[in-house]
Amino acid sequence: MKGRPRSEDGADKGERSTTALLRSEMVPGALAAGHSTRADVAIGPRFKVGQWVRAKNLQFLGHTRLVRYVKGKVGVVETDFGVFTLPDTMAHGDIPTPQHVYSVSFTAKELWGAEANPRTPFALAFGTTIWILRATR
Amino acid sequence: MNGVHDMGGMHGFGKIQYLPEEPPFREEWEGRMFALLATVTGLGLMNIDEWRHGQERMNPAEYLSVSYYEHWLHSVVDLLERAFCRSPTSMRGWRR
Repeated sequence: MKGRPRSEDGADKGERSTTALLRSEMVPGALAAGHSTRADVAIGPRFKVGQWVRAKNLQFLGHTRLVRYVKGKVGVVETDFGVFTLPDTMAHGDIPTPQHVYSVSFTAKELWGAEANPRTPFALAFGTTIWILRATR
Repeated sequence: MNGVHDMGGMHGFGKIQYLPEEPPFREEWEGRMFALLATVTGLGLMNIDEWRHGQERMNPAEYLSVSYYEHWLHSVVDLLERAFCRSPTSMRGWRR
């Protein structure tokens, strides 16, 4: 776990840590606040809302949150949420790789073909910059 | 990772079982599991993406046959073994 900040009095010294004591009265507030993976880094977006994009056909063995059913499919950027850490590298050594996260709208027909449910014509998926490429439609 | 966890679009699992009045924890140990994850992530021993990937690395047959919080348990035990327990025997009593 390189690159991870260690507590001054933590387990590295073989002592009991007193750093991150979570008392019961602190629990409701901590759970309500949650934990954001937003990255405080100024990076320009590579894609813009309304642009057609294609999800890459990534097949690597590591972690990704690019779901299988959008790989290779074409959709349109719906929202740019700003800059976040990348799960694909955070899962392997705490490496942030900050980049923009978008929601991408796909037609149900694009994802599921002729069998798509006509009552749910669109599906949303989240995309981070390295998962998508420019496309035309 | 093309694992069994990536289930979107799979057939044959039936409808999603949803109970509107379902409590957060069906059994007491599930609440303890929740607290244990908050502890290991709060201490900076594990981030949320490492936790998800720990679940994905489960044996696929086991993944499909155990309950939701058992996925959490598997991932946290796997990480703690990697992080601290140079001798896995000391963790053996943990396993269900």
